[in-house]
Formats: sequence, C-alpha cells, structure tokens
Amino acid sequence: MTPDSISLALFQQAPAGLFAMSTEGVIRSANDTFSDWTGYPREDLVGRYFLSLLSRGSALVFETRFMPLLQTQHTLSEMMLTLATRTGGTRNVLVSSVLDESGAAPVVYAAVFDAGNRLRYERDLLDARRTAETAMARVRILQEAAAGLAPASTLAAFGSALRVAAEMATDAASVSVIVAEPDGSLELVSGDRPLSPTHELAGLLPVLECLRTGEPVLCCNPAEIAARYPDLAAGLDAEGVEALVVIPVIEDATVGGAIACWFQRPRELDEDLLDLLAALATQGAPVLQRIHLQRRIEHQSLHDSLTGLPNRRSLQRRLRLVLGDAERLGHAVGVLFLDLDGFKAINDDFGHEAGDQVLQQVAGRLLRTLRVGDLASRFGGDEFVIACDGIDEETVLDVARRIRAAVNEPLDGLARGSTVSASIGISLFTPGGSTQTTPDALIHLADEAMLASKRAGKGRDTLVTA
Amino acid sequence: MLTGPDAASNPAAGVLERNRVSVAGDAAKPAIIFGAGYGTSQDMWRLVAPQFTDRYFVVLFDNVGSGETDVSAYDRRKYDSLRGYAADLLEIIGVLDLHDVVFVGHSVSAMIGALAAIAEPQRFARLIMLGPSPRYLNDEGYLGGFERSDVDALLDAIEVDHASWARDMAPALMKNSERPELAAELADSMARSSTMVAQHFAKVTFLSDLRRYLKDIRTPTLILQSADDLIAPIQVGEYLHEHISNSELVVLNAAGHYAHLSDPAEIERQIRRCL
Repeated sequence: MTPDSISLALFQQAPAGLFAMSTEGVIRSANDTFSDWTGYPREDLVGRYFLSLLSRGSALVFETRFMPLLQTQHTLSEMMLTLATRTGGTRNVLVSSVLDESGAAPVVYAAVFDAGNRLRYERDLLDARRTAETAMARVRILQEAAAGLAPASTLAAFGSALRVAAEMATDAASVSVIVAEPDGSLELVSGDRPLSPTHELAGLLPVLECLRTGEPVLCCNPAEIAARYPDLAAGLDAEGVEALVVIPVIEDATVGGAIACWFQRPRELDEDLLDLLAALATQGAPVLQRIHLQRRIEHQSLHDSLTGLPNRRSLQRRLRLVLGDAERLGHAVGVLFLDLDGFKAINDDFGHEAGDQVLQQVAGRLLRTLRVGDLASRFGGDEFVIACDGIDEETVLDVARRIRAAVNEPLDGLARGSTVSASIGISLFTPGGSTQTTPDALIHLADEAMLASKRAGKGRDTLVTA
Repeated sequence: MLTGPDAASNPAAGVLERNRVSVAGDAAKPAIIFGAGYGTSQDMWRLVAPQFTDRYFVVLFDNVGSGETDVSAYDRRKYDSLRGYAADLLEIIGVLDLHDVVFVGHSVSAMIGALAAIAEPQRFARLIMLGPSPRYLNDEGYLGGFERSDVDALLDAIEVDHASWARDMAPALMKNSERPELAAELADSMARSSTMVAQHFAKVTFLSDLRRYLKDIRTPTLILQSADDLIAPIQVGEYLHEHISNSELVVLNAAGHYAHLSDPAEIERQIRRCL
C-alpha cells in the first residue's frame, strides 16, 4: 500500500464516523464508517442535511445548541446525539467537531463515536443526579418554609413564609396565600392575586372550590381554565394567567386556607411538585392553627364570654387610649356606668338562665343604640360601662336617654314580657383644664353617679363632670 | 455599551447593562432592533446588523440568561413566561426613547417582539420574524414539529453538556488563580447555574403556546420562513400568516434555521424591502 492509499483507507475505515459539512449543515463528504452507521450509501449522504440523520430530539439539540455553540466557540467536544438510521433504527453517538474558517467557505469537520453503552451510563448518571437534586431542592424549600413559619405569630408572617417557599418551588409569576376565617370570611394574607379590581376574594372560584372541597385545583392551560371556570376565563386571560394550581391548607379536618399559584404560561405540574406544595401546606397547617388559637385566647382575654362584649380589661385599655387622644385633640370623653334595675327579681323568678338571656339582650340593645366608635363593655354582674370619645354634655345625655329607652323595651326569651330599666351614671371629662384624670377615676365617678340615680328612684341618669 | 459605576445607581443604565444593549449609528435616525433566538446571542446578527448603520439607529441586545448577560440577573419567576422578556424589550425601547421601531426577531425573539408589540403597539412600526413559531409542540390539528419527548431530549442534552462545559471553563478560570482547586469548583458552579438557566429558558421557549395571542398583533408583520427550517416547519409559517391579520409570508430557499448566518444578503434584502 502506498502512503496515499493508507491515508485514504484510514479515512474510510477509521473506527469513527467522519464527515464534513457546510455551516448550514449540508454534508459535503463522509467516510465508509459513517455510511455504515447511518445505513445510507455515501453518494446519498453527500448533499443531505446532517439534521435529517438525527432523531427529532437530537435535531432540536443540534439546531439550538450544537450550531450556536460551534459558531461562538469554533470547537465542540462530545456532544451526545442520536442518529436515526435509514432502516428506522437509532444509534447513540458522541460528536466532536471543529469549524474551519480558513478557506473561502467555512467548513465543519466532525468525528462521530459510537456511544451506545456510554450513553446508557450517562443516562443513569443523569437520572441519579436529577433525583438527588430534586430531593435536595425539596429539603431546602421545606427548611426555608420551616424557618419562616416557626416564629410566625401573625397571619401575615404565616402567609409570607408559605408564599416565598411556594414561589421557590414553582417559579410562579404570583402566589397568593388565603386564609378562611372561622366566621367564613376570606383574607388574602400574603402575595398578589388576579382579578382584584373586578372580583371579591370569594369570587375567585378556583380558590373557593379548593376551600370548599379540601381538594387541590389544577388547570394546566388556558383551555382547562376556560372549561372549568368559563366566567373567569376572559379576566384571567387579560392578566396573562395561563395555568393555576390551588392547594388546601387543612388543619384538624377543616380547610383553614389555601396556597394559590398563578402561572403565565401553560404548566404541567408533575407529581413531585404537587407533593412538595402539599408538604408545604401540611407544614403550614399547625402554624395556622396556632395563630388562630392565639387569636382566640387573646379575644377571650379581652371579652366577656356570655355577652361577647369587651370586658373590663378592654374598657381600661380603650379609655387609656382615648384619654391620651383627648389631651392631644381636645376631645371630651364620657363614661356611662349602667346598672340594671329589676334584674335580681328576674333571676329569682325565672332562674339564672333567664338572667343570662337578659344580659345578652341588653348587650345587643347597647350595640344597636351606641354611636359608631363607642365601646360598650360588661363590667361585671348586671353592670355595663360605655366609653364615648369626642362627645359633649348634650350628646352624652342623649346617648343615655336612648340606652334607657332601649333597655326598657319588653324582654324576650324565658322572661318574655317582663321589663328591666337602667340606672345610669355619667362622668364627663373635658381636657384643657388643670385637672388630669385616669380610666379608674372616671369609672369610679360614673359608678358613684349611677348610685345617685338609684337613690333618686332608678331608671334615670346623673351626670358629673370630672 | 454602558457599563461601570453608573449602571447600579442609574436605572436606565441598569436596563442597558442587564440586556448588554449595544447601539450603532445615529440616534436621530429610525430605529431597528435585532433580537437573538434561543441559545444564541446578538453576535448571530454580525453579518446583517452592521449593514443598516448607514441609515438606521441599530440596537442589539441579549435576552437575560443568554449571551454574556449576568446569570445572577436571571429571575426565574419573571422569566417563567416570555412576557418577562417582552417587558425587558419594552424597557430597552423606553430607556432609549425609541418610536416607530422596526423589530427583527429570530426564533423565540420573534415571539417576544410580538408580545411587546401587543402590549405597546404605538412603539412599533414593523415586526420582522425570522424562523418564528408560536408553539413548537404538535397539537390536535396543528403541526408544531415536536413532541414533548423531543424537548425532554434537549433538556437532557443541556444537562449532559454541563460536565464538559465546566471542564472547558476551568482552565481559563485557573489561569490567574492562586488556588486552582477553587477555580475548578467555581467553574462547576458557574456551569451549573448556566445549565439551569439554559434548561429553564428551553422549557419556557419550547413549551409555551402563543397561538391565542396572534390575533392581537396589529403591527404589520413580515414572516421570513426557510423552506427547510427544522425548528419551524413551513406549516408553522403558514399558520402565522393565516392568523396575523396584517402579515406577509416570504419563504426562503434552503437557508435553514440560521438564515441570518447562511444567507445574510437575502435577509438584508428582505428587511430593506419592507423598510
């Protein structure tokens, strides 16, 4: 063999496919090995697009990565591709290539190595790494959520911790965390939500459905949204929402809230991601329960359990507040001390339950009669104290008159038809003078004035100025 | 390009830096903006864009996450939709105070330009789409050219690349490093974030579906479609032409998906023809 024929044989029979192509990807020359591997005779290969020898997936890789990278780097090593052979089979290969721009027309030289086994191995590595990374990301997100949730003592902090974690998990354009209050009302505690100018929170049907059923709601694309929520489709569309998922936060078998993710492109949410969102919700549930419990305890510590009215502590807290404002704003403050006349008799005649009902009815009548901003409290027994801010003598007397009239109406319930009346004492503090006052002093003055009303024949009021 | 200390304190400079905006020609002349396709940078326009500097103000940019842009500026939530990129394009146009813009977009940038033109039509005089596709996946009654498994193969390939990418990058980083082992680590983490960005952008590009917005494009549109573009088959060009009311479809001969590299003279001629 001559050196030339050895070179030619080396080219033709090298244990690697060799070919040259234009920068548009048209094959200019190929060796026998490449011809064998692809199943096309050499004369068929020349003039053919290299792309047409690749699986669709590899063609996408070739066009969007191989060629752009080659253009910028001029050399590429071991790009994994899958050849689609003439007989309909496939062959996994690694392709290394260089871009030669020294001639008149640039040429790409490529060497193709069989990679059947290596590719399987790479594939396994890839799967293993993906699994590990998914698990790590999951742990990181759950830890992040736990760190935010642990110190959360407000609904806002609870919502923010869940929102941030859900954003990390999903890349959603926006995430809303919604809490269902015990009275059934809904509150957006963190994040933005779609349709806020046009729809109440309760009109956000996917959220409502999730809260009602306790099941996740999932719409992967605009068509699914339109089929399931036809009335909302146009509005969501206008805001670019193309997919959504809502996950319930379930505490003690009741749905306490929901995490809603709004996407701006079609999204197929896989099992892993839905699991992760559910895990976030599960993590959030006891925290939501704790916050609700704290709120209940706080409410209880400031309210009377029989009538639901604020208690003595709330009253003192309010009076401190309004007395501070009174000095600053020059507002007068009135305190009305009310004691029921005839209450003991009802208790004796109809029993304690009837007495409790009377107290509840009186509480309701007070709330109905007072001005907005006034605070009615149950002070103890059959005594109620009302704090009025920004008032004058004439108005406070009018309030007292209205209260007496309301209390005096015939009773309902076990003591139906009976009546009670109210003896009221009023203390009125007008700031600006030399005297200072305290909540206790005002209450005490009003109490004494009430006793004066009692002594004067009950069912009347007595006013003293502090 | 605007870089340096101003970039952080000046929001306008921040926008231009973020997208590696480069300009050429006279700012008083009509503006023409070139947008790069998936996986590529403004460099891909090197054979076409310079031809226009005589009579136009030429603006080039990179989508965040592509080209030489700072990977740390990549906000996954913002760029989980092509709308994020469209918002960036509108910011560039706003900062440069451009009007009657001719926007030439390759591949995914054609659709980014369309979303921007739908949002602020008054800014655009013309859209020129090179190898565009409103949806890459096949659907009932629609031939996009790809199946989900093809996109998964691309995502896998990007991931497998990561190792060789890091290997290629490490020596350059090590050259001036006193602790080469850290350079290798750095190369790996840089390759890792580039990989994650490339995968995410691939998902957003190839799994989006913008067919429903085509009817909202009011800007006159020229669709340049290669007869042999594998990424955007000819049916996709026809679909776009059918659904964009004021559009013209030009089928280019054997130019592939990168016609601006393979046949720059023809692309230049087509752009000039409609200016």
